[in-house]
Amino acid sequence: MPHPQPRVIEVEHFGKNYGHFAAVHDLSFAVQPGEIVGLVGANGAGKTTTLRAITGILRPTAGSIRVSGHDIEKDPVAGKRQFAYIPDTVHPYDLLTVTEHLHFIALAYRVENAERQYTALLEELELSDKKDEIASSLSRGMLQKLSLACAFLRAPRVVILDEPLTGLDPRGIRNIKQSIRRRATAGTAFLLSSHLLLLVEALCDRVLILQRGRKIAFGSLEEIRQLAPLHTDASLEDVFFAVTEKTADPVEPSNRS
Amino acid sequence: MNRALLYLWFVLLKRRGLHGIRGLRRPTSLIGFAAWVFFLCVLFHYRDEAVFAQLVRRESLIGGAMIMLGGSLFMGFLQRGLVFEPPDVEFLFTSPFTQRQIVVYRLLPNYLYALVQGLVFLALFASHLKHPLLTAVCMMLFQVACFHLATGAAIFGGTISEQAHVRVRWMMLGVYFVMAALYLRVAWDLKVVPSFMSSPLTQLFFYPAATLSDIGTEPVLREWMLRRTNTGAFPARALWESASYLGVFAGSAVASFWLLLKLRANIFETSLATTTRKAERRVRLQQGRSLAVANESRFRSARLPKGSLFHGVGAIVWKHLIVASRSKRELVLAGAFTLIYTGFLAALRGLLHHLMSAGGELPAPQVADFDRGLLAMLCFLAFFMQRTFPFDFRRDGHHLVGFRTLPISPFALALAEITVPTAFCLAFQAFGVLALMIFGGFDGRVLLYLLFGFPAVALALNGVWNLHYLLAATKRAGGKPGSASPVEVLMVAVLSFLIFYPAGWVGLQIGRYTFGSYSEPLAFGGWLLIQYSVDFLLVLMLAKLVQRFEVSRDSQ
Amino acid sequence: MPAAIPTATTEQVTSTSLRAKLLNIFALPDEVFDEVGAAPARTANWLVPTVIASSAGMMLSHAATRNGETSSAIGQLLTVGLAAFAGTFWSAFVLWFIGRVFLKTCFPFVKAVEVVGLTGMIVALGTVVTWMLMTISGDVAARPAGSLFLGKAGAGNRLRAVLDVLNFFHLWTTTVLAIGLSRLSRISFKESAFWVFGYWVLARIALILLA
Repeated sequence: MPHPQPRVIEVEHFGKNYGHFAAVHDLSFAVQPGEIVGLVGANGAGKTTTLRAITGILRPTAGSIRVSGHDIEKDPVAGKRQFAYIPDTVHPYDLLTVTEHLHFIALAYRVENAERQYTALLEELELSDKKDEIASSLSRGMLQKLSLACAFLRAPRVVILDEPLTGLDPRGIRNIKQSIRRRATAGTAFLLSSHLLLLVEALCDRVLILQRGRKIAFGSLEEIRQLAPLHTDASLEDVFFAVTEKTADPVEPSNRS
Repeated sequence: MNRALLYLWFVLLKRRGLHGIRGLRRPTSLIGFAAWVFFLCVLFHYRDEAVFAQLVRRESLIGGAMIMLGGSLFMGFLQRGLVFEPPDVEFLFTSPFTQRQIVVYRLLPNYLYALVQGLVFLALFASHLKHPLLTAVCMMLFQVACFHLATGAAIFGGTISEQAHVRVRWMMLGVYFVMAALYLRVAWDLKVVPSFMSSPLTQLFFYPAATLSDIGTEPVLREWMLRRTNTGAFPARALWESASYLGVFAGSAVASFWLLLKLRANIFETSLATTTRKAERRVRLQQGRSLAVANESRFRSARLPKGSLFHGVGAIVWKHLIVASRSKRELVLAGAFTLIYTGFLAALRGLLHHLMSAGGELPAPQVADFDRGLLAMLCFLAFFMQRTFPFDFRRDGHHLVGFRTLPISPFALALAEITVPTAFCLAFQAFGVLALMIFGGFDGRVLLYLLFGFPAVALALNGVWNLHYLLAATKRAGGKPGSASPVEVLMVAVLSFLIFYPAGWVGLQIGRYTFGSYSEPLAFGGWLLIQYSVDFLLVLMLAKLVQRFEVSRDSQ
Repeated sequence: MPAAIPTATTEQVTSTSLRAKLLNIFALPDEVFDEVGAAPARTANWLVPTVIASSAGMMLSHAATRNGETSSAIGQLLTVGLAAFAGTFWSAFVLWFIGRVFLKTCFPFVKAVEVVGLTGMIVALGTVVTWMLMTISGDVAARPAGSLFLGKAGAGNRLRAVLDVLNFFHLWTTTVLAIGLSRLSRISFKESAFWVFGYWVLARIALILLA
C-alpha cells in the first residue's frame, strides 16, 4: 500500500474574526504536492483572508494551519521557507533592479548557486532585457513576472497566488500557465485564487469554493458537479453559480482532504 | 541581523541617495536643497553666538529630552502598529525572517538618523559644551532609546482595543501636560496654569463636586516656594563621572532595545493595517484628494434646493456647501485657529483698554491706528484660513474632465469653485471683527473699508492658491504626477503676498500725491479698484486653465 | 456616526414621582437615571433639586457669615445662589461633551442637565453636613474631607486645597455622575468613571497643584 503523500498545506478548522465579524469560519482543506488547487468565491468570501493566514500575515482566531508540517503560528520561519506568495497587487522595491530583487530573495532563502538560475528564469518569464531596470519603470505585467521570478527562484514546495494573471498579455498568460503546469508536474503545489473561472477550470486539479467565509465545496470539477443538478459537461462557471445560489449546507464531495 | 536584510537596506540606501542626487536636476529640488544647505551654513557660521549656548543649557537639554521622550512615546502609540513600505509587507512578512529581525531592519534608518543628528549637534554646539563628544554620544544614544520606545509604543498601541487606546491617549496627554507645567515652573519659573485655578471660585467648573458656599468667598493663595535648579554650563567632571554618564545612556539604549525585543505582540497584523492606511493616504495625496476620510458613511441626503440661486453653476456652490457641512474636522480646526488668532488680537486690544482705563493716556488717532493695525492683522487671517477650507479645486481636481462636459462657462466655474472657501474665510473673519469690537471702536469709514477690503483680500488669496491646486490637478489629468514639492508650495506662498503689490503700490502713490481728508478714501478706492481687477484676472486665469488643460489617454 | 441612545422599549422602566426620584438618587441612582433616560425631558427633574442645592448653599453661606469669619454681602449670597444653576449647565455640557467626543455616543443635552440637576440633592445633603461640621467645630473651613485631619493648621495652602477635593460628598457626586453618564451612554461604569473622575477629580487636583 503506498504511503500517503505528506500534504504541503493543511488547514484545519481555520477561523478568522475581525471584532464580531467572522471573515472565515471553520475552514478545513489540504493541498497535496504537485497539486493545483483553485480558490474561488465572490468578493468578501474570505479568499484573501485565507491566503494571508496561510502565509502568516494574519493570525488565525481558531484552528491551525501547517505548511509542509510546520505550524505557521508556532514555527513561522520554518513554515515560510516552504512557500512563495504572490499577491494580487505587486509592490516591489521601486529603486531595486530586477536582478537585485533576485539577489535579495537568494540571500533571504539561502538559495545556492542562485546566479546560475537567473538567466534561465528571466528568459522563461521574458525579463532578460529588463534585468537591470529598476522596478518603478516596469509595467504592471512585468511586475507580476518579477514576482513570479522571485517565487520560482527559491523552488518552494508550494506557490500561493492571488489573481496571478492580472495585467499580463496573452503570451504572458500562456507562458505562466505552462510554467505552472511544468512545476506542478515536478512536484510543486499551487494554491491560486482567481475570479477567472475559465483559468481555474483549465488549470486546477481541485477547486475550493468559499462563500461568506465558509467552504461550500471542495473537490475536482466532476465531484463538485454532483452537488448541483446540472448536466455532466457543465462548466465551472455554471457549477459555481448553481452551488453558490443553493441554500443547502456545505457538503464535502469526497473523503479526500 | 539577517544578511539578506542588511543587503536590502544598504542597496536601498544607496539607491535612494543616488535617486535624491539625480533629483537635484529639477530646479525646484535644487532650490530646496540649496536653501537647506544655506541654512545649515548660516547656523554653522554663527555657531559661536550666545544663543547657541542657551540652547545647550541644562534646562534646555532637559526640556528637549522631555519633548523627545514624550513625543516618541505619544507618536509611536498613536501610530497603532509599525509602518512599513508596501514592498516590505510583500517581501518581508512572508519571508523566513523572525519578527525581531524585521523590527531591527525597521530601526536601521533610525539609527542612521541618530548618528547624523549627533554629528550635526557636535558640529554646531561643540564650542559651548564642556565635554562635546560625550554629550553628542549621549544624545545619540538617548535618541536611539527614544526610537526604541516609539517602536515599542507603536507595537503595543496596535494590540489594544480602540476604547483602551483612546483612554491611554488622553491619559498620556494629561500626564504630559502636568510634566510640562511642572518643568516650566521648576526650570523657568513660568506658570502655565493661572493662579486663580486653585481658588475656591473654580469649584464652579467642577459642580456638583463643589462646596457652594466657598464659591462666593475670596480665594486665599499662598505661593509654593519654588526651588530653582542651578543654571549655567556643565560643571567640571572627573573621568569616572563621564564614564558613568556614558554607561547610563548606553544602558538605557540597550535596556530599551532588550525590552523592545521582548515584546511578544504579533507585529504583522497590526502593521499591515497601519501600512495600508498610510499607503492609502499617500495615494490620496498623490491624487490630490483630501486626506481626511469621512468616519461616517451614512448621512441624511440634503434636499433639492428650491431657489434658482443654486441652479446652473450654483450647483457647484451647493455641492461644496454640502461637503462643508460634513467636514466637521475642517470647520472645528478653523474655529479653533480663529479663536486662538482673534483671541490674541482681542487680548491685545483688551490690554490697551485696561491700561487706558487705569489712567494711561494715548491720543485718539493713535488708538485708531492701533485698531486699524489689529484689523490688518485680522485680514491676514485669510491666508491661513484658505488652507483650512478644501472646498475648491483641491476636492474637485480629479473631476476636471467631467466638469468640461457641464454646460457652464469656465469663468463661472472658476468663480463658483472659489466662492465657498472665500465665504468661509470672510465668515470667520467676521467673528474676529466682532471680537475686536468688544474693546475696539471702529467708525463707519473703517467698517466700510472692512466691507469692501476683506472680500478683495480673501478672493485674491483663494484665487492664487486655487491656481496652484488647479495646476497640480491638470498635471494629474495629463498623466503626470501632480504632487507639489515644498519649494513649489513656498513659491505659491510668496506669490500670495506679491499679489497685493500692484494694488498696494497704487494706493500708496495716490496717498502720497493727494492731501486733505479725501486722501485716505481715495487711496483706499484706488487700492480696491486695482485689487479687484487683479482678482478678476486671477479668476480669468483659472478659467483659461480649466478650458485648456490636456487630458491624458489613460486618465479616468 | 455616534451611536444614538436606544429607547428603552424592551426594558420595563417604572415611572416614579419626582419626590421618589429625589430620594432614590441617594441609594438607587442607576434606576433613577434609567427612568430619566427613557422618559421625556422634564424641567422639574433638574430645576427642583438645583433650587434645593442652591438654597442650601445660600443658607450655609449666610451661616458662615454670621460666624464672623467671612464677610458675606447680598451679592455673595446671589453668587452662591446662581452658582448652582451655572454649575449645573456647565457640568451638563462637560458630560455631554465627554459622551459625544470621547465615548462617541449621542444623548440629548437636556438629559445631561437632568442627571447633573438630580445630583444636586447630594450637594444639598453635603451642604447640610458641612454646616453641621462647621457648627460643631467652630471652624468655617471644616469640610467632610481629608482636610479635616489638618485642622485649622495649613489653612489656605495647596495641600489643604487638594484634600478638600477629596471631600466625601464630592466623591459621591462624582460617582453618581459617572453612573449617570454610563446609563445615558449605554457603556460600562468603568469606562464612564474613567472620564468623569479624570475631569472632576484628577484634572482638578492637577490644576490646584500647578496653579
